[in-house]
Formats: sequence, structure tokens, C-alpha cells
Amino acid sequence: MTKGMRKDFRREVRKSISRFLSILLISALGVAFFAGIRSASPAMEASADKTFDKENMMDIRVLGTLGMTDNDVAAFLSLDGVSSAEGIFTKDYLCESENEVVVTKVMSMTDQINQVKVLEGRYPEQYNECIADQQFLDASGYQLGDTVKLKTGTDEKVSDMLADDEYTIVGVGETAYYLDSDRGTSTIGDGTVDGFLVIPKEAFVQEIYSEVLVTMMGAKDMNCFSDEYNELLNAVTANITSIEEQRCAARLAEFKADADKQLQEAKYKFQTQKDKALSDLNDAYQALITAEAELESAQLEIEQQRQQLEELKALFDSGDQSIKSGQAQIEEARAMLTELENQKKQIEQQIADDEAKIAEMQKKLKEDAAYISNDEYYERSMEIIEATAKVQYYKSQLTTIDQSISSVNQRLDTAQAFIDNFPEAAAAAREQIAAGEAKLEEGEKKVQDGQIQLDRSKEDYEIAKQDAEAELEAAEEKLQNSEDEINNVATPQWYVLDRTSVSSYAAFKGDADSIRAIGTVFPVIFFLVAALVSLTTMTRMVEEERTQIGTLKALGYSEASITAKFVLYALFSTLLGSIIGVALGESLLPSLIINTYKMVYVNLSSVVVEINVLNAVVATVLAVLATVGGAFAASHRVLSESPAALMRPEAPKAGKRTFLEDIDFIWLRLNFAQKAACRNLFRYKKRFFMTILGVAGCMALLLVGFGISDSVKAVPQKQYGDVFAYQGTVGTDTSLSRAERRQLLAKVSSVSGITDYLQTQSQVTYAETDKGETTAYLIVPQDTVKLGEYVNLKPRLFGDTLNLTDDGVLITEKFADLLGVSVGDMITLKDDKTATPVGDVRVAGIVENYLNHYIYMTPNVYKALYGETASLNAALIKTEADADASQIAKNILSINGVTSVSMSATAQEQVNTMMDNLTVIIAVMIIAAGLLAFIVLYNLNNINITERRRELATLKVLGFYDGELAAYVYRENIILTIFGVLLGLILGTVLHFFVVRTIETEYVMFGLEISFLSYLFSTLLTLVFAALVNFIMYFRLKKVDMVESLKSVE
Amino acid sequence: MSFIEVKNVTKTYKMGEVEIKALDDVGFGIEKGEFVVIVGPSGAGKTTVLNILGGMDTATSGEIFVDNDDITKYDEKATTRYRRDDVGFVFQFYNLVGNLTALENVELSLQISKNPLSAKTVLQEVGLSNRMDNFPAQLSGGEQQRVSIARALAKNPKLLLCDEPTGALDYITGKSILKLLQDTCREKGVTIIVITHNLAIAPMADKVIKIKNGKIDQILMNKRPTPVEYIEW
Repeated sequence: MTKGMRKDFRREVRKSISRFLSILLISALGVAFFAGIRSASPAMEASADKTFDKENMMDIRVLGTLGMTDNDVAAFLSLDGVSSAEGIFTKDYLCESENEVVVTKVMSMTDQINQVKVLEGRYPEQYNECIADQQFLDASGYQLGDTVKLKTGTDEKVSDMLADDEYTIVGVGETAYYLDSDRGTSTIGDGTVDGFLVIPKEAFVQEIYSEVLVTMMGAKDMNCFSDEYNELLNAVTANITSIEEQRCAARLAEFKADADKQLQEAKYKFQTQKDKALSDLNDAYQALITAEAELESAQLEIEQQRQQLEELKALFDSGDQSIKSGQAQIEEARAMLTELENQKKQIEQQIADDEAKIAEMQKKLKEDAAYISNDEYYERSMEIIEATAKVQYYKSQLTTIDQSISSVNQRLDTAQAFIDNFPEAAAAAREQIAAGEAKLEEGEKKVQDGQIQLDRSKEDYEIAKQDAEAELEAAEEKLQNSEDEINNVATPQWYVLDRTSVSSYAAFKGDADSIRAIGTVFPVIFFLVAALVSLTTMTRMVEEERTQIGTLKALGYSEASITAKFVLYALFSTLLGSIIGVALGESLLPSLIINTYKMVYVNLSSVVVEINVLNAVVATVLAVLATVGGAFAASHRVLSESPAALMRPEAPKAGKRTFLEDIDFIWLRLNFAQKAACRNLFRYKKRFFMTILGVAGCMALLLVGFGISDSVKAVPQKQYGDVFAYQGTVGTDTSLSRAERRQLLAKVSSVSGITDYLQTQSQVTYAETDKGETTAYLIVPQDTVKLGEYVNLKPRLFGDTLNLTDDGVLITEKFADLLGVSVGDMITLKDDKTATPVGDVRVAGIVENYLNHYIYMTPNVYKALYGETASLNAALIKTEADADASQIAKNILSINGVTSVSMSATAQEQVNTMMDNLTVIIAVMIIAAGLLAFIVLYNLNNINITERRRELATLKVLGFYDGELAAYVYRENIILTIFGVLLGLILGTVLHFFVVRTIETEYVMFGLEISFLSYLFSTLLTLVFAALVNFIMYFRLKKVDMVESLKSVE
Repeated sequence: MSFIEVKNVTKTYKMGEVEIKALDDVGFGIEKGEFVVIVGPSGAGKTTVLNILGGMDTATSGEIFVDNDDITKYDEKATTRYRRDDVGFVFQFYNLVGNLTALENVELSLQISKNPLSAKTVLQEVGLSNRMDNFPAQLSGGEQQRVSIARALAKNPKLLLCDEPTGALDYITGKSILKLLQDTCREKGVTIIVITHNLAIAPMADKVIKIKNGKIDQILMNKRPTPVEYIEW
């Protein structure tokens, strides 16, 4: 390059700075988008990897069917490739707050692996302190410093696992183990885990770990999404699996020994319990008998008392009688006394009379003695003697009477005394009787109460006896069962899981893959168009300078030095643009995408955005190649002409008739302007194709953007709306008997809100053909006809609803795709754990399905295949239309024997979260589409106007108004835009199909239809973008200088 | 007042700090049906006169009456209407739309014309009855210029402005084009203004306006214009 040419080059750039900038910008945008979007997925993965590494996330987790022990941990630590291993305890608990019952996962704190980062507060120091995650706090309403109380939600006791059931929240933490808000499912509460609590290991009272976490040697230096990592993972997994058999056998022995010990303890405990229960019963019986005897003696006593009282009463009654007779005697005695007194008086009178008579007679005799005869004296003396004898007699009689009186008086006194004393005695007797009666009554009541008490005690005793007997029997049976169980316990099994078993990891990986899939398609289109536009611009530049090229050539400059100008021009602009594009694109786009995803993956603590050299180089090289190649090719083509020809103005492009003109039917119907537009369209072929391509690209991007949203939305809508006519699945304890299960389901069906249910056997099975393999749910309905009411068994595209018959199985569409089978083919089913072949089944039909894979099988086929009757371990349930799904789930889970409930409504919500993630992608697409449309249309229009400015100036001179001039140009643009939209429709639909199929994961089939609204929106947006560009172009058109028409052709 | 009356027209361009007077107090009159040639060396300002007369540029000061209307007072829309209805323009490089046939190129201007003539008739009149359906690329320079003239004439303009119409043509073809213009002027009575640097063709005009350094140098009237056939250069 000569000095002059260098000067020319610098001036060229300065003069055509807008073109230079335009190529620079287009390259920048193309490269930014290409490198940016393609770097987003690696950046997402790097960010996640760094987050995981920082918190020392486990690489492998091993779960055992009989739990894991310290011996297992030690065994892992001695394995090749294992860097660290640590056992943890986990258990789901319920935690009640004011108005919410939240399900929380309680985990033991680890020393190294899966560290929990404390955002606020501190780590637990006491065994009854815990860290909660923000989601737990949000769901429960508890705050830092509050104390939470745990419940098991089942008949187990909190103390079975934990030292305490109350924990004080001392910290708020997060862990990379849960990147997003999904905390998994649970068998308690409403079946969804709301948050987690981390408590010190000491708070767990048991020794058997729930799982062992393992990190691999050297894994931190690798990207955990890389093949390198996967290789290491496979190797270490193989190492772990290699000791599984030995460790599991040891674990079984350990378990049995432990269980035996426990059994013996239990047996001993049972025996003492039994003895105690029996002796208690005996004591109770003895007490009962004593009580009965006591009661009897009390009764006897009462009887005696009663008799005494009777006697006393009789006595009292007789006393009364004797008082009466005493009084009569007294009366009688008094009468007798009176009579005796009278008699005594009479006798005393008689005596007195007689003695007077005797004295008289004696006096007379003495007086007469002298005169009277002896005889007469005698006689008369005799008479006196006789009278004296008589008095003597009377006197003796008087003594007798006196004696009688005295005796009567005595009797009277006695009787009187008796009567006088009686009232006092009677009162005492009456008191005694009353007291006796009261005492008797009391005694009787006591006896009565005693009797009731005794009866009751007897009853109690009977019940207690029965209870104790039943209890003992049950305990004995339980002992027996445990003994049987211990004897029957199978060799445990390990589940060696990697990070993909962590749902948020898998979800994140899926999202990164989606972005990668998008990165493989869209930026390429975008980039291609950008490259084409730059190429066109360069070609145009070379053509504009043909006169100068000719002059230089005529002056004797070499082709190389002439070409150098254009090549360097292209190189500088594109390289500069690419560098800016790489810098901006690779920093902004990945961080934009990651930060948007961080709304979902809130615990993604590291954001790693690094320049992805490969993408940067690929994009830059491609961009440079496109423009420089274009510049080189154009200048080479131009240079092949002679200098003389070059210095002459280029012959105007020959007008040509278009094929349309041969079709009179169309051509004659077009007005002049339309004809002119048609000619122009076909004349500028490059513009024709590039505009159509640009518009089509824009349209396709929009369509795919909206279409992806449609496809993902379709999954829950179609799966839970069209395919599944049931609202939930209930899993039951497999150890239940058929009858127990039936009873259980009866209980489930009585939960309010549930209208119907269908018993099924539901299990995971592994299926393979020579074309593919995957796992699927095997569903065996009890009632094959009724299944049709629960699942819409219809092929997606053509055909009627299928019936499940013994003819073969019905499988779902994506499953059929993965296995590469069609109706009539055979698939091999294998046990999903042991991979032992079960048998081959014929595919009788392929039905529409979007989420997971299902094999529907009749009980007969199942029996023939598995050699046993389907156990019907689950049930599909239908609920009332407006039922509260989480309440129903809660109610069902509270039933004993229900192990799981999954409600469609909950699942649907989860998918809706996934939808939110896609909003980012759709937004990116719309922005990209807008940019694409703008860049392409603006540039092409610009070139078009520049190329045709002479023509346009002429039209202006001819008197075209600005509007008419614009219409002249726009008419072409409108036609091209319509063509572009139409092509975009096709392109977008095809691309959508491809993209959707790419971002689908193994277990999801997205809808393939794009909704009418999406077509409409895409079209409208494309038209709006196109209109916007044309609107801006109007000002360019206005500025076209009429003087251009006077200039000579360049 | 003449059909076209240019009075004291000045045009200054500002090139940064420097003001360049392209036209300095120019004034002349042109009668209806006159064939006028404006001559002058390159950069004398003749194109500026043409641009201002044709409504493609505005005068800095002065008045220009065309058919009693002062076109310097026109707003943009009126100016466009003036170009559309009153002026026909013939370009040095024909400026045909390459994508349209001869006939269609003529029709293009008819699309917007108020009172157009038949495109075919006009093309016949300019001697292209056999070439109507040819594209410009298929026509010789002279033929293209004929189409250009036909396109201008078909609008039935009051004024035909020709910017170096023979500039890109060889001698013989140039002559035939000039003849066509002269004939058109004579037969149709169209006012024609031809701008050229070629003094040799001045004798064919009714009026010759010589411009030098942005000023009128001389205005000559030819009582008897020489037919084109007799002019040689």
C-alpha cells in the first residue's frame, strides 16, 4: 500500500463513517448475539458449578434400603476417587404455626459436604437450635429467634429420631443443594415440603444415616456438567457399586443382630410387662374379693344392728305397756288402800265400840256385882270375856289390814316410782332408737354404695382384664411379626445417585440445556443474516468505487493493493465490531440470562461470566470471513474488468420482464404502480431475498418464542386437562393386605371432595427395544373399562379412543418415540432395579401424553407377564371440580397406610413455575427478532435508497409528492414483508418443531402446536417492526436531493 | 410581463465559513413558446438557474414569475405541484427508470399528471413507435433521450427544461435530439429552455442567455433562428 492509498483509506473511513459504523454495528450485534447466547449456557453451568464447589456439594449420594452406617462411610472413604464421605440424617416433620401447618425437611448439619450458608444469625451451638431456610420462614411465619415445635404427622413419635421436639431458630441459611424453591415431596402434611431446618447431628438420637454424601477427588477442578466429570462420576460410582454387595451383606448381618437384640429386649420387656400386667390383674382381683367380703360383713353388722334396734323398740313398746298396767295397779291399789282404810276405820270403830261396851259392862258388873247373882255375874263376866276376845280378834284383824295397807302402799310406791322414772328412760330409749335407725340407714347406704362400687370395679376389672389380654396378645403378635420380619428381611440395596437426583440440579441443567438448544439455532440465523447484510454492504461499497478501482488499475496499481483497501475496510470494521460484540455480548447476555434465572434459582450464589474464547473466536472468524470474503470477492470480480470498462459508468441493470407478465390473468389486473413494484422486486434480487430472509427470520424468531411458550403451556394444560381426567394419585403401603387396602381406599374415598376412585397397580418399570431404553410407569387398572374414564386413551393426531384389552399394552407417544416402536412391535420390560427381564409385550396402541411415560396394561396381561396378580397398590382419584387440592391431599395423607398423594393441581403449579423461566427466553427472542428486523430492514432500505437515489430524485423532479415517493418504495417493502412473513410462518413452524424437540427432556413431550394467537402476535410484531423501519426511512426519502438527478452516473 | 420573468435572483451557498454566490442579481424574461438556450462555462451558474426555475432549488432572494405566479413564494407542496403540473425535465443522463419499458417510463410521469397526453402518441411523435416495449438498456443513448423527452412532454408542461440534453450523446444523435426539441417548440408551442456549455448550438435558439460567474453576461435575440440541420460543431 502506498502512502497515498493509506491516506485514501483513512479518508474513505472518515467519509463513509456511517457505512463503517453500520458494518461495525451489524457485526457487533451479530457477534454479540451469537457469542452471547451461546456463552449463556456454559456461563450458567459455570455459575452453578462454582456455587456447588463453594458449598462443597456432594457428587454422589448413597441411600440404602436399610439405611447407612459409619462403617459404610468408612468403606467409602477407603475407595479410590472418593475425597470425602459423610452420613446425614434427614426426616420430614410437621411444624404448626399460627395458621399454617408446614411440612419441613429436618436435616442434620454436616461437617464438610453440602454446607449450609448462614445468611443471617449464626450456626447452631446447642442441640436444640436450628437454621431455617427463608422458605420455611415465609411459609410458617416464624422468625429468627422463634422456637418451633415439630410433630411427626404420623403415629411415630418425634423422640424416635430426635432428642427434642422444640428448636430455636438461630440462623437463616441457604444451600446449593436446593437451588430453587422446590423442596421436594413428602408423605406427610399436604405432601409438599415447604422448607428445611438444619439441626446439629447430636439432636438425632439414632445412628443409622438416611444417606451418605460423597465428594469425588478432583471433581472440584472440573465443570460438573462436563463429560470429564461424568467419566469420573461413572468411575467412582462403579467403585461404590463394587462394594455394595459386601457392605450390604454386612449391613444385613448388623441389622439382624441389632434387630435380634432389640427383639430380645422387646421380648424381655414384654415378659416383664406381661408379668406385671398379670400380677396387677391378680391384685385387682384380690382387692375385689376383699371388698366383697368387707361388704358382706358390713351387711351382717347392719343386720345385727337392725335386730338390736328391733329389740330396743320392742322393749320400749313393753315399757309403755307396763306403765299403763302400773297405773291401773296404782289405781287398783289406791282403791284397795281406800277400802282397807275404810275396813280399818270400821274395825277400829268396832274395837272402840266394843271396848266401850266392855268397860260399861265391867263397870255395870262391878256396880251390879254386888247385887247380881254369881251366875249372873258369871254370866255377865263371861259376856265381858267374850266381848274382850272379840275385840282381840278385831285387833288382830286390824294388824292384818295394816299389813295389807303397808304392802299396798309399798307396791304403790314402787309403781309410782316406776311411773315417775319412766319418761326419762323413754326419752333415752327413743334417742337410742333414732340413733340406731340413722346408723342403720347410713350403714345401708354404705352397703349400697359399696355394692355399686363393687359392681363397677368388677366391670372395670373385666375390661381391664380383656384389654390387658388383648394388649398382650397384640404385643405378642407384634413381637412375632417383628421376629418374622427380621427373619424375612431382604439383603439391603443401595441407590447410588448423582447430582441429577437433586431436583433443582436437574431443573437447572434442563434450563441450561434449553438455553444451549436455543443458542444452537437462533444466534446462527441472526448471525447469518447479519453476515449477509455486512456482505451486501461491502459488495455495494466496492461497486460504488468501481471508477476509482478502474483509475487505480489504469495507474498500474496491483490488484492486491487495490483489493487491500476493501479487505482492510471490511476487516477493521468487522473485527472492531466483533470485539465490541464479544465484549458486550459475552458479558451482558449471559449475565442477563443468569440473573433472570436467579429469580427462580435464588440460591445460585455465584455468577460466573467469563469470555468464552471458543464462541468469541468462532463468531469473530465467521463475521470477518463473511465481510472480508464478500469484500474480496466483490473487488476481485470488479477488478477482472478492464480499467476502461471500469471508468465508464456501469451499464444500468437491464430491466427485465418478470414471469408474472406472461400471466395475463394477473398482470393485466395490476395497476401501473403495482407493475413497477413487481419489476423492481425481481430486479433487485439480492435485496429481494435478503429482505425476505430478514423478515422471515424475525417472524420465525417471534413464532418460535411464542411457540415455545405455547408448547410448554400445553404440557400441563393437555396432560391435566385432556389426557388425565383424574385429579390425583394415592399410593398405599405395599405391606397391606388386599382387604386392608380395600378398607383404606374406602376411607380415602370418604374424604370430602373426592367423588370416585380407581384402584391400580402402579410401578416403575424399565423398558427397552433394540432402538432405545427408558423407564416408565406401569399402570394396571383393576377395571380396564373404567380406565377410559380416568385417562383419555387417544392417539394424538388420528384415530379414535382406544380400549385397553388383553391384546397388548397401550403406551404413550414419547415413550414410543424413545423406544422407536410403533403399533404391533414388541417391547421388553425389565425390573427397574435389578434389570432382570420380565418379558415381552406387544404394543397395541400409542396414546397422547405429555408428561412422563406410561404403559397401560390389563390385569390379565400383568398376571401372565409377572406370574402374580397385580397388587393394586395405588388409586387414581377424581375430585369435585372446585375442591381444594392441597386440603384433600392433607386429609388423604393423614389416613394411616397412605404413603403418597400427588395432586394434579400441585404438579400443574410446578410446571407453571417452569413457564416463568421461559418468559426470559421469549423476551430475549422478541428483542432479538426486533433487532434482527431492524438491522436487516434498515440496512437494506438504506442500500436500496442509496442505490436508487438517482431514480428517486428523478421521480421527485417529475413531481412525486413525498408520500407518493414513499408509497413507490414502500409498496415493494410491503410485498417483501408479506413474503417474509409467509416464509417466516413456514420457517418458524419448522424451527419451532426442531427447537421444541431439542429442549424437551426425556420425560416430557411438549405440545407441537403453535396457537393462532401466537401466529397473530408474531405477524403483528413483525409488521410493527417493519413499519417502524419504514417510518424511519420516510425521513431518509424526504432528504433525497433532487440535484442527484443531474449528476452523472457514477 | 413575460411568460417567465426572473427578477434580481441571487443564490448563495454557504460552504462552512465561506459564502459562494452562485447567482448574483440575475434577471431575464422568456416569452411563451420561446426556445431559449442558456450557455456558460462550467460553474457559471447555469445549472443553478435551471434548478431554481425547475423548482428543485430555491433562490436566496429575488422573484421568479412563471405564468404570473411567483414560484419563489411557493411552499414545498406547491413547489412539488409546480414541478408536477407545469415543468417537464430532460436530463443529461436521461434518468429513465431502468426497470420500466419506454412506454412505462412515459406512463410513470402520466400517473401523476393532471392533464396528460397519450403516452403512445407522444412516443410516436418522438419517433419511437417501434421501441415502446423496450427497456432502457435495450435502447441507444439517443433513443433513451427521446424517451426522456417524451416523458417530459407527455405531462403537457408549460415549460420544458433540458439540462445538457446532448451532453452524453454523440454528434449526430445530439443533433437529432436538438431537432426534436426545436420541432416540438415550433409545432407545439412549448416553451423550452436548454442549458448547455456548447455555444455552437446557440444559433438555433430564439433567445440566448449567456451566464458568466453567476451573472448575466449577455442576452441575445435571434430574429431568425438557424435550423439545427445547419448547425455544426
